[in-house]
Amino acid sequence: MPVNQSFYLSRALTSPVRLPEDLGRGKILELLALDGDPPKVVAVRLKTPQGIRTVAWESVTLTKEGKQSSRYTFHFSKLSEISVPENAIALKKVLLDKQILDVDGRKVVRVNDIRLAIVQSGTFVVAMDVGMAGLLRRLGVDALVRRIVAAFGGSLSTTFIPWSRMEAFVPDQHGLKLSIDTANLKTLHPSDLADLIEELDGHSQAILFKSLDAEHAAEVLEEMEPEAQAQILRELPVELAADVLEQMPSDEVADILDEIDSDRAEELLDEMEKSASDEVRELMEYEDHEVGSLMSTDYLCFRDEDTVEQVLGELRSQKPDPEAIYSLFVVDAHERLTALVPLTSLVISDPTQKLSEIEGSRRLHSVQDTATIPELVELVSKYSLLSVPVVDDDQKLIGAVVVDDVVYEMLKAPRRRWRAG
Amino acid sequence: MSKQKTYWKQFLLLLAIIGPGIITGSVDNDAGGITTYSVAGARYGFHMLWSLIPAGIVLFVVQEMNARMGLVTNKGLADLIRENAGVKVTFFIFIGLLVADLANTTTEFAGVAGSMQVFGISKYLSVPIAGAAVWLLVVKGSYKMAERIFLIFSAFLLTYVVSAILAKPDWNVIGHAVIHPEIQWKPDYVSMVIGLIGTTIAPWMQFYMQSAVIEKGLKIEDYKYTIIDVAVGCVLTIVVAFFIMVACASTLHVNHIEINEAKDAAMALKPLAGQFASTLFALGLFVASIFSATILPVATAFYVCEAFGFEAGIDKKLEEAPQFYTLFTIILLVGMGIILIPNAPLILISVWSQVINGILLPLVLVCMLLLVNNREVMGQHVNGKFSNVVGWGMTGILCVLSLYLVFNGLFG
Repeated sequence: MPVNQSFYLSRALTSPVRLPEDLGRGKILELLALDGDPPKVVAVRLKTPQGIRTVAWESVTLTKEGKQSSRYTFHFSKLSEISVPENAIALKKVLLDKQILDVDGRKVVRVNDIRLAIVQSGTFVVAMDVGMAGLLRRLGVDALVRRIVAAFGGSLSTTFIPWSRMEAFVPDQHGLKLSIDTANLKTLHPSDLADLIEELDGHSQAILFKSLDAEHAAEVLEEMEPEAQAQILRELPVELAADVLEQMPSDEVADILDEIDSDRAEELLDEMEKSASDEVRELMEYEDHEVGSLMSTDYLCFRDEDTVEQVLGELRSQKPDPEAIYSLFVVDAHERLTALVPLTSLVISDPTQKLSEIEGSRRLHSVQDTATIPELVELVSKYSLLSVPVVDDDQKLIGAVVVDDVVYEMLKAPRRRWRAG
Repeated sequence: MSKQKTYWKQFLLLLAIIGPGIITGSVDNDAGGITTYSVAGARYGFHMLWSLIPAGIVLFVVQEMNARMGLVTNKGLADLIRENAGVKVTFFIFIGLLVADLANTTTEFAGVAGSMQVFGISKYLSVPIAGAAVWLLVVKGSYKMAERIFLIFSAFLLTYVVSAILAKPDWNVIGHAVIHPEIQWKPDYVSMVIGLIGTTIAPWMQFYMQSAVIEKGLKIEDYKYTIIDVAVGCVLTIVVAFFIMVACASTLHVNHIEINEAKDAAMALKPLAGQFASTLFALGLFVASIFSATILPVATAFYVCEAFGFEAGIDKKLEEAPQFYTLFTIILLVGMGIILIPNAPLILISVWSQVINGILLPLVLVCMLLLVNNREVMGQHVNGKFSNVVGWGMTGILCVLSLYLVFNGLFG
């Protein structure tokens, strides 16, 4: 979902409004949203020269004077009256200025402003602005203060609580209290935050991202769509971005860096630790259609001399993902792939047996790093493989592809063809 | 027997509920209040006593509305103003209140310093000790404990009754003056009346009253007892004010002694009414000052936190309500600090705090009346006709009087 625009409720309530044809100018009095997760704006209460009207939000477009300016104009291409469901949330009346409580009912802060994002599927409430910047914006002095603060070399902080953190409404009779567990963003599930961050524009994304530690941020970044990932890496300071990338598997990093311009990618690689960046560089050398560009260099393999007992012990301590150990990769002293041992065979074997002695070792399905992805896809679907070892020209094990990555490629393939055609 | 039992039960309930009204009323008679009453008594004798009657009515009507709003909404006045009037109005009111309350807190510490000077204790000793005691009570104490100490303070203010009786007033003259006051239509006299009513209902009290009702955890079922609490508080306030004026009128006015400060009154009483009356007067001033020096910073921190949605309350621990206690401490320190500056311009500070209060009072009252009549906020408990007539009438008069006071303060 690419973000077209985002704006604050306070701007909507104070910005000039242009009505269609010669109806003159209007003023937005209230935005009405469907109670959802997140709430979608469906209607707007407008003050027009012809009186107050409730019209559909769809026909609104937003223009901004200059790129940095915060002056908006709301354009209505047509005014179509709309009836709003009774349980719709009136954003100004119900949310703005209301108290936010934590799960223990303790007061945390008030809603100073509301951040909305216009995406393809509509306009949504994405976060509550609870910071000083929101307060100043409401007072109409934010631009002034921002300039003064900037003159002293500072910047005005914006603090958001994402809508997804609003756990429950406590609708008492005089307004709404929202509930969040703590003011700390870290307790949020990475994929939830990723969804939210994708819906925010670049600037606020970077702000939210900075509040996470590198490991947590890496988890979130992995969950995001490629465009959003690239966007984040462009916005974040180099050091911070490099820290985050170091926490991620090298194949993921290679994929992300492929998406952004090469100068910035080089800058990020230089900033990363050498061991991590070398691996990424190698992966990035593969062409897009080659298996090497898809493979993970983070895999489990065992020596043919290891006993079943040793291997089981190792597996217990490593606790790998199930799809990664459906078949175990076995290599010899020269790191050459010699066998694939199914987990089932391992379990029923004698603990003192060596891996090389296990009967029923699977046929050696492997791919070359320079093989094409369609070849890999064919192999995977033909033999119903969950993971495939990747070898180089010398039959040396250099990586692995798990079925998850292949499924993604399989789904992507027809679309590509369709696009090309 | 059973009837007696229910009465007894009701009385116990009443005792459990009283507090906010009496405390708020008593804090009215703070250092500034006592000064105003003393000066009024010394300058105009008994001819100013009548103004306590309208002052008492206004006080009761306003406080009853605050108590009712607190009971119905379970939200502070600052909460309601922020939620219904938006950021701009809230911001204006609270910047004003913050400045005015800083100035008022300073005046309270001036009262502490002044009353202790009567006993020959230096302000460099009395003010820091008083400040430390106040801080400990609020930060370390619970609401229950603080309320008990406040109620004892309130009772202490009755020492003014003894001071007044020691001054041997002529009750016939007093009775006549109340019924047939000699109202003078001179600017000085009018501004004294305004000052007197103004000191009785300060803007910050409305906020404190409502918040105290909530912090005490009272519900709308407790309304009839809360009303008694408010009424007792108002009567107590007016009685104390009455006796302060009587004490000063029957001694200082008769002997044509002009005073400018409450501590002057305590000093002047010594040759006229005896050492004991003078000591009691000074002690009353001390208690009133330290009492208000506690409540004012608490109230200020309370409603600023409410407006911005931070946790607040005497019952909360330091780490539960950091903003509340930080703000409280800053106000306390600034108030004390100004007093300890040699030759601080105290009179200027007190004039400006009155001017700001004068501007804010009508604004706060209008906000209150709009809120208390808003059915979405108050449900079935909106104002009745009587409260509205009295409320809007008083607000109108107070607006005019306050404007007069403001212009008087600025250009007079």
